[in-house]
Amino acid sequence: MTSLSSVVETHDHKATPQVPLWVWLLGPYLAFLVLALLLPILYLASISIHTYSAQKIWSDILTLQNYAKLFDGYYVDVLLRTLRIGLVTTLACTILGAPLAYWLGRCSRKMLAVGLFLIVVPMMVSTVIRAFGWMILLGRNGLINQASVQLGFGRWLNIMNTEPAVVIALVQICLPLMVLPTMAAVEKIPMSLEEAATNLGAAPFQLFRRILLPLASPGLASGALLSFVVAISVVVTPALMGGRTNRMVGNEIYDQVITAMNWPFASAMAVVLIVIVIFLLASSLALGRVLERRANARHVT
Amino acid sequence: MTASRSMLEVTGLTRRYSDQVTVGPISFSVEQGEFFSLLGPSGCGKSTTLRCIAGFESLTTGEISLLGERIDTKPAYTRNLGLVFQSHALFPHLTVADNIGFGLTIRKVGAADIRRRVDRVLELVGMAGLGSRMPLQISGGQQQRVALARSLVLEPPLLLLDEPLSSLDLKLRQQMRDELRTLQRTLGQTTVFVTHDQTEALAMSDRIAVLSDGHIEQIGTPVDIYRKPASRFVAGFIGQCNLLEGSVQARDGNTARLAVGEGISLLARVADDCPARPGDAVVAVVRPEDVLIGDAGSAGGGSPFSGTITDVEYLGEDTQVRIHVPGLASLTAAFKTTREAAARIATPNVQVRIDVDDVFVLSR
Repeated sequence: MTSLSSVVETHDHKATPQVPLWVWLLGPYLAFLVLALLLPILYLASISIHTYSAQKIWSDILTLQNYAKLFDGYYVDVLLRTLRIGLVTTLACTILGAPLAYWLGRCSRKMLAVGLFLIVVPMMVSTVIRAFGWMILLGRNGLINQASVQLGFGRWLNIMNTEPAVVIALVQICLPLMVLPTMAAVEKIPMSLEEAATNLGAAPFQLFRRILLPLASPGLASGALLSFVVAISVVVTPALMGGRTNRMVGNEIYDQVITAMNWPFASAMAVVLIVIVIFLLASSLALGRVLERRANARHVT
Repeated sequence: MTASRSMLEVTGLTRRYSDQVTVGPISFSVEQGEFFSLLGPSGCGKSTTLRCIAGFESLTTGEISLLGERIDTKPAYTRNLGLVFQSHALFPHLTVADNIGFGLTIRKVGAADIRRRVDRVLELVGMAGLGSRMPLQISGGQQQRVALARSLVLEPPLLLLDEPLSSLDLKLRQQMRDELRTLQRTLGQTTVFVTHDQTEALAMSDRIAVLSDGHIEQIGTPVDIYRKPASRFVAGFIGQCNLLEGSVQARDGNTARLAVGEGISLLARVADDCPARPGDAVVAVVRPEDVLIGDAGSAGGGSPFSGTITDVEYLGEDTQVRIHVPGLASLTAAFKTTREAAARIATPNVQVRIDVDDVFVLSR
């Protein structure tokens, strides 16, 4: 920021005092963020501490009852299931996505174009259609079971309306979010570093653990964070893939807003989700800073 | 037998990339303690050869042996060769000491032992006490030293240097060149050095292999390469030279008379094994510093001409002049810039002489 504003200052001699450049560059988006995101979230938070009223949706009486209700067994289950699904999805995305990201980061320009196309295209299809696709494939009368019956193996696949079904659909949604930042991190690691480590005797696994993993970890971390945040906030996927027994926080919020019209309770759940996301973002930033400081401290000693 | 002393033996190495681009066949051997350079313009195959030895590229045909044992079939990480990259390739997330200790850590050497050996090699490259810095906090020359130390600490039988000096600026490059050579001599470190810089190769090498278009043009000592180039390419690539095309007029033992222009003949010393016979088309190679001007050439035998100076280039320590000799293309002469030498080129019309021993004859 200082460098930008100092550039502007050198022009100040001929013009009347100017607005710093960053105001023009960031201002419109900042204004949009404040109006369209920050204020609604604050409003949401204020609704969450009001009492539900069947007539007016919420009354003026302040309460923490909406949050207390989250400690009911049912909602604790929903919250834990949401976090579990998010965690398993992120883990699966890491295991599937990291090798893919490495390959994309190292392949030729031509293959990269093809690979990126294949990764990005699914993002352009709506989540409803994607879930529907999974239902056609995995359902009791889905393609897999039909083929299996034809081959004489019977109708063995019974995965629809289970937690694994939700995870499978979510992995497909989150994989690009994992792959793209990791790929960018891999691209920044010069090939000569890999060759140098190999030349110094590092076998492929040692090369991965001592060179690639630490250098790609910022990309992996942001990929994992994105995947997790998206995975715990979904509505459509668990509704279509998980059935009535595998509901996530998003489904509960949706029902409270649309069906039960209990906006205060829906807001409380939304606030909890937002707090989880903010906590994760803040702790990953803090972790990055601690690691950096540790590297610098080593230099000083 | 040279084979028993050979550290590195490259035999018939070829590398085919596509239908057009091929390298080789290349064969050479490097003796224990030798500083061996692969010299050539970019795309001549020198880096490919080095990468084949290091194991980053596989050979299409041929063999590479280290101390009599074939290594070209072994994976790169088991070859135990030192390699210094042009880009230094230091690990940015590790301190200088951890970079240098990387290979020892991989080999599961104890922590105290690693620290002792890293400190010793840091001192060797003149960077004692800087082990805790990060690679981005040190200068280019220091990064170079760390890259070298990282290889040397493993005491490899063979050190490979891939244009390690070309990322440094001129002054530093010369300094590092001397340091590298001194270090190599002190340690008796067998070294293969890849460069496109002929000055570097001449200054540092025990022997040089000159490469062009994927094959070796000549292998020899710096003096051999410079004084007795095996081909026009080598003559032209190493230093400046006058290439005078002509034919052999007469040969008397080790002296030949060459016709190199209309009515111009040049006496040349030819070796016993030189096949030049009267009538053969040849190229006479004459280095600019051997074209003597005025009084400087009055004594001793040789071929005198008269010419006219057309251009003077003052290079500080040296002066280079172009001389037009009627019947011949122009000659380039170079000499140390002294007052006497300056006086000799005061008038444009000069006498020029080339000593019989300074003409090297190449068959065409």
